[in-house]
Amino acid sequence: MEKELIEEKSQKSKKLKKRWIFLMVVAVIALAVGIAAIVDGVNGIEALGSFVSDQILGMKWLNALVGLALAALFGEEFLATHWGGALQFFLYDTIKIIVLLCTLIFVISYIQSYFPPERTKKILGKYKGIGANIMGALLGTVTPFCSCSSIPLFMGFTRAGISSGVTFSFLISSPLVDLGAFILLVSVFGFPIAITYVVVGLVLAVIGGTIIEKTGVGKHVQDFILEGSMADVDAEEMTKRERLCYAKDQMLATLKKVWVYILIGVGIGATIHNFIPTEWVQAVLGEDKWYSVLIASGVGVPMYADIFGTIPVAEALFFKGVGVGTILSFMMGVTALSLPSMIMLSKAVKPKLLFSFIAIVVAGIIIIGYVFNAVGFLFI
Amino acid sequence: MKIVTLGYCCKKSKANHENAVIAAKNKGIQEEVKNIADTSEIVKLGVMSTPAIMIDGKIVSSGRMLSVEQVEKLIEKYI
Repeated sequence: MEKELIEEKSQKSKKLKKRWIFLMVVAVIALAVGIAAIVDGVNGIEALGSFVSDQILGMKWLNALVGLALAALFGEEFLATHWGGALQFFLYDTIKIIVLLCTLIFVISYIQSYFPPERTKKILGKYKGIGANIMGALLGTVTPFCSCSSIPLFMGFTRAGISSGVTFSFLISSPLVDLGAFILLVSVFGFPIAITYVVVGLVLAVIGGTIIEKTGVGKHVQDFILEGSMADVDAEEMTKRERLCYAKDQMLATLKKVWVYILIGVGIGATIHNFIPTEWVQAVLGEDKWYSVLIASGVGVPMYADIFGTIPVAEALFFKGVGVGTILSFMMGVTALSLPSMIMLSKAVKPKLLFSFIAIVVAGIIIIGYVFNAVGFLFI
Repeated sequence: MKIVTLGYCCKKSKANHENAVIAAKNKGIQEEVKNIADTSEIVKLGVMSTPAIMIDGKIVSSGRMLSVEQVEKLIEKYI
């Protein structure tokens, strides 16, 4: 009895400690923003935001450092050539993305360890209507799952009585929006575009899921999905050490899986950045070209790459003056739809539902592209 | 002690099963480590993310690939 009491007390103090740490972090952020505001009003807050996005997340200092190192090694003239510029972009971007990726995947995996699919399923079961769609889209961003586990996930959700709309909201937002993508977007494009990307991605997930449910195509799942029961299990709570270990494993596994994509992405980005004349890019993808969004989506959708490999390409296009909407369409196309995940999904749903799903997502991506090109001047 | 690994579709699940076999051997467990690969069966057990491990009918780990040492620890815990 006494022992239990002591245990309870230590747990309470632990919780209190956690709350203190959380409050301290919030206070430090508020203090920084407050000082910035006092010193220079709104400009101060803006300066702080761009300092965080340019120097801490964007590592502009690293770019300068790489430039200095290259100039010292090969001379100023080399740096001014196409090859010099390409090499600088390649080195800077590779280092930046790998450092950000390692830090981010580690932190994200730690958060994800609190949301295994089994738990997500339980949480989602409690919500109804549009609220459930929104929760589905939000949980899609923090629940870890690979294309390999999309079928069990689909079965689990369906058998637990979660509606097809919510399941699809989850499936759309999951590859599209995640914390890692957000931070990387901040580092390249700054806060306004990054926040918009996330919000728009979530809205697309909610609307897409709702359409699938309301039109009734959501019922066209393969029969075996509906047959049989499903037990409710409480997954073992992980200890802090296990979570850290899990986060480390995830980080290494992800790095192993995507480093090729990153190098390819950065290579393409460096080529666009330094060798392809701006006029060419402008002629195909320029903001004033009505077909730029269609081309970007057309190229992006069949392509399969990790968001981390897509960003350097987007970054280079951005420097060449390609519209924000066009870039978002391209990035969303690459990440949201891919051949491997479609093949897995085709085993779980009937063709009619699969094609509706693809059509809705593609339409959404194209609409987003046009809307953002129209109002893009607000962000730059 | 009955050890069953769930999932055999991707590399991770295969490695997980192999690690479980080695761990069971190291711990001197006579019974064969079984594997369930059928997705429908796996979902029936309440698991949605493989690789997973079940010991004596209880799901003890899911969604993670475990190393030999980690499986050994689980075996010790549930023995």
